[in-house]
Amino acid sequence: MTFLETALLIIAIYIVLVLIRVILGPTIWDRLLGLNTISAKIIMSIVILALITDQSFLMDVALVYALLGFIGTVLIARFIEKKGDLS
Amino acid sequence: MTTNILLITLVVLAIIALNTQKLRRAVVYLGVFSLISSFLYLLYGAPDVAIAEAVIGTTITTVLYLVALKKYQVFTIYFCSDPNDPNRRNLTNNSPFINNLESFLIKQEMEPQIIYSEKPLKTILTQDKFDLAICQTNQKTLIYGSVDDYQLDALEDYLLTNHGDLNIHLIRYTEGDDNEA
Repeated sequence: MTFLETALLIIAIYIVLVLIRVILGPTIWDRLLGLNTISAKIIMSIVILALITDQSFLMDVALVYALLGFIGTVLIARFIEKKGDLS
Repeated sequence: MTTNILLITLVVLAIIALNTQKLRRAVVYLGVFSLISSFLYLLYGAPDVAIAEAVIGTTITTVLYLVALKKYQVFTIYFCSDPNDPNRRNLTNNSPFINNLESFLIKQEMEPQIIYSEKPLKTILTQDKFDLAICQTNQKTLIYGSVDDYQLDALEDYLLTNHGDLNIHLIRYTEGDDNEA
């Protein structure tokens, strides 16, 4: 197992740990924070995957993720705080 | 190894998203689900599918589900009268209280669905899915509603101004040990 593969494995274990918080989390804000953290972890693992496979276009996928995950989190947070009003 | 761990989390997340009580929570679970599944597409060597999954799963379905949650119109009201309770008051279909409640909900663009039940109140509160549970005795009217119900404040105002004689007590009820703000 190379260094990069080990790093990928460790990030996968981190995702599982955050997932426990997402599932147990007493409030909806805990779950939302967990979603954001998992999204960050996924972006990191995409970059590592791009290094392992030596395919530079995977970096573009990471960019798309970084932009879209942000929009999703902001929309859910807005929805909860405004009590069901999206506009 | 990494693939196996992520596949197992996918199965766990899918089961939990199906079993959860609150729809808002299921939206968050589905967001995590689609994030992890699109990373798995990448691991299996399909980056174009992964981009499509990220765009559709993370953004568009989240927005669509939230809009659908906002427009969700059916408002379930449980009316319970326990046959063992000597103080109970029978409610017929034409009680003015119920009619007023229905017309108020229709004005709020909701669709009231009223269920008359003879189960004891405790079982309804713990087992059934409801928006309002009403329990009426001779002295007072107890109304149970969920803490994070957005319609409840307006409903309380309306009931207290128009039905002050019924001695209404509105109880904000938290499901289980989960007290969401």
